[in-house]
Amino acid sequence: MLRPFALYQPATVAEASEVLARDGRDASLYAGGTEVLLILKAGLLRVRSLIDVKRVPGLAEIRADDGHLSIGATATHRAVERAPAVHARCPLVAGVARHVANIRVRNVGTVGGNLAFADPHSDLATVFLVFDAVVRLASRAGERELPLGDFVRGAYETARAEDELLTAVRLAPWPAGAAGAYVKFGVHERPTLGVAVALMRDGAAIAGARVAVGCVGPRPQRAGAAEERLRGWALADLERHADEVAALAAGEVEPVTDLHGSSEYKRDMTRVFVRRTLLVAAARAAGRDTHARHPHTIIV
Amino acid sequence: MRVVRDLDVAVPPPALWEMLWDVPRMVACLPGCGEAREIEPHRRYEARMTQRVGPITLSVPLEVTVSGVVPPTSLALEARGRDGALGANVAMSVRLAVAPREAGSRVRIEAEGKILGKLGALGHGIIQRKAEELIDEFGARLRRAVEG
Repeated sequence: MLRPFALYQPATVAEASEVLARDGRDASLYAGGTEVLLILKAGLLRVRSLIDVKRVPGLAEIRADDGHLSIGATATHRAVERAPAVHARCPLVAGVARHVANIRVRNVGTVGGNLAFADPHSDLATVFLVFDAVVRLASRAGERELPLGDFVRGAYETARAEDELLTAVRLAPWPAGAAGAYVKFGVHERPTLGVAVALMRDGAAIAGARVAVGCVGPRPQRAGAAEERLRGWALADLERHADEVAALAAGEVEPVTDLHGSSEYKRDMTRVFVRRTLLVAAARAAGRDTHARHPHTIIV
Repeated sequence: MRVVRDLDVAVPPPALWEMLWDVPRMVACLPGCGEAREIEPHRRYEARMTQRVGPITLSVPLEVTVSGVVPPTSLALEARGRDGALGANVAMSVRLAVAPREAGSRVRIEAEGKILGKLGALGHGIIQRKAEELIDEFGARLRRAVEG
């Protein structure tokens, strides 16, 4: 049963920040409620103040922003899935949004809530990493920006200060000719593993690569050594090298044992799924579709 | 969850042993530990352990029992408690083994613990990570406290 709390509906970010600053750990931000209400109902979180930021003007805006794509914190997954600006600039993100959780969650759950709650078993942060995402944080004192990789510090832990709100996430669209894929695997409600890959092309060669792995450890991470290894190869040779790159990525992740599986299992599944995701991305870069299908797997 | 760490400090075992029984100094070495008091010297203690995982705060009044003492080399503790608000039961056992090493000491810390209740939904791995961070910070603070 929910315990009593005061519900605030601030009209501005500054007002929300005032309540956060005043109540500290006794206050919680609330938008879609798909994460916070679960732990409130489970009795794991007790708050004196719940701050509903859904009505703060501008926070749900999705727009092109100086060559980037800016997604407001209270934009729902459903809104991201449908937004023309997302389809135009980061279509992979629209595809991933279509497969977040279930339709009830997608209709009310928000991008900002997802990132700020920092549940390790989540899709968005992983796919955002291959768009070099930067989060914008605001408080009474002003605004600051942080790369997403620095914002998510661990499981359920972020760099957000107590009086700050995450107001938006900014994605850098890939250059023309780039191709990518997001592949997730899971037998539970939340994914066991998610892999995002982006391949930037220079003619028939790979000019740059981004590989992100999520859900297997406390936070999603880029696989820098795997990315470095991919650079300079011919796209046509990727299938031959995919095993080696996948093994590098599997060596870079920091898997933890949980209800989804042991750390050893997750490391091996990382190897398997990085390889699969690379092949899907490479096929797309070459203008083909692999038509790959795997059990309990969603390929975006 | 289980955490094992070896820690080298620059004081010999007798000096370290004395420090291990200094309750206020030991409490200061344990992140999140407070309200400690001695119930029965060298036998029973009480303390409150508060830890945060993201938005969730676990705060447990612990009953600590010294279950084995071999001065100045071995110390075993059992700790139990319950966070009524979260419905979480905590049980821990900690063994410290002190051996001379060059001019100082090597302490082997072996901690085993269980957290039962809804917090289990967070997953063993998250709690294991938290426990490792806690023991590592304890080791760092203990070294600083001992070596001044």
